[in-house]
Amino acid sequence: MGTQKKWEIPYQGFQVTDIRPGLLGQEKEKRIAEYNSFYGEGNWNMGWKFDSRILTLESALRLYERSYEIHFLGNRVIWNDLLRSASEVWVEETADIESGVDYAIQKAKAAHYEDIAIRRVLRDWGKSFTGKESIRVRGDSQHLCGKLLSSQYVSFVAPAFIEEPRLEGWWKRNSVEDFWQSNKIILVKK
Amino acid sequence: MTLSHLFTSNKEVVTVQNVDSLDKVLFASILSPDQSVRERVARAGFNTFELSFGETPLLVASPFTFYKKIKKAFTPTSQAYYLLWHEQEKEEDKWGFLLQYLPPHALTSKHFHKEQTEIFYLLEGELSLETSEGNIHLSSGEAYIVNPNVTHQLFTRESPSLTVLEIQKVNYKDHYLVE
Repeated sequence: MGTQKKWEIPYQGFQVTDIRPGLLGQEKEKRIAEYNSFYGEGNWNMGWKFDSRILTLESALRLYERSYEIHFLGNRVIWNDLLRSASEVWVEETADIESGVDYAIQKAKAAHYEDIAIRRVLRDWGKSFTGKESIRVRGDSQHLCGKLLSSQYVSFVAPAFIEEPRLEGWWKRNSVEDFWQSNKIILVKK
Repeated sequence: MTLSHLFTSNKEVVTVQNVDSLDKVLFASILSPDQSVRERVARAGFNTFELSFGETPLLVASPFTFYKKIKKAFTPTSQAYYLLWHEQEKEEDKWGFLLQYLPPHALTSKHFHKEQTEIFYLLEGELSLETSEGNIHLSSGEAYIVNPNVTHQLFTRESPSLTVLEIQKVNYKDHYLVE
């Protein structure tokens, strides 16, 4: 079950498996229930491979957010359009706005991190929304800025560390979503 | 060298004096090109179009095919000229690239689109946009997004402009003139 590579694991007593759960999306609760039933609640965890380490959700989100920050610094046309057009951003449902800058506040069925990463980058750079519309951040957003700020388009900050073979999906190669899905693995108690 | 990223292709719009590499470039403009620049552009397999930009010769290069002769804009009230049009399917949408020249003291029609989004990349010169969201001034290498339902009109003053328009959701009927 474990891989040959020596991983630095943040959870004591856990070992890395080769299981890559991939996209959970709307089935997140169902899939978690399945893992609970198979491994036992508290006997498994999720992590993200990065170099020789396994990252916790919090650490992986730091890379996720850093990718958005780099994108902000290099793609002012898109971000200026967002600032000008949007009053807020959301991914799954407009209630996502209630998450503010806290990744832990997740009320929708599927996890949403893009909107929170965007708010945190804007907060850190002293910027605010000045528009009138609540813009969806998704590949099928009606707004170009909403589409291009989706995790499927924003480039991951360290593409060399995305695990091969990549998991295929609706995301672009080397995107934040490519990292998120390809590097996500299951850890289980020894 | 100034760079603007083209959203559809991971490639760039550049205004250059020294062409080192055209690997990532989809549109390049070169003022007063010398013979070595022409040769490098040709080696990269690029098509070219030459025009006078003010009083300076300007070479425009792209892997896309230019019109044989510069075309007057389709809208009667517009004073713009077109050098190239290329469209492609991208995911679920149709995207287009229009290369537009606006002489000094010229303007386009005042209009809006209901579905099309337009991104203006200014290759050379100066360009002003009057939009229902405010007035914008672009210098070469800068870009601006005009979203659907935003009325806009472009105009130049003393300097001409050469602009790449990247158009998302191309629809020829989606053009509404405003008095």
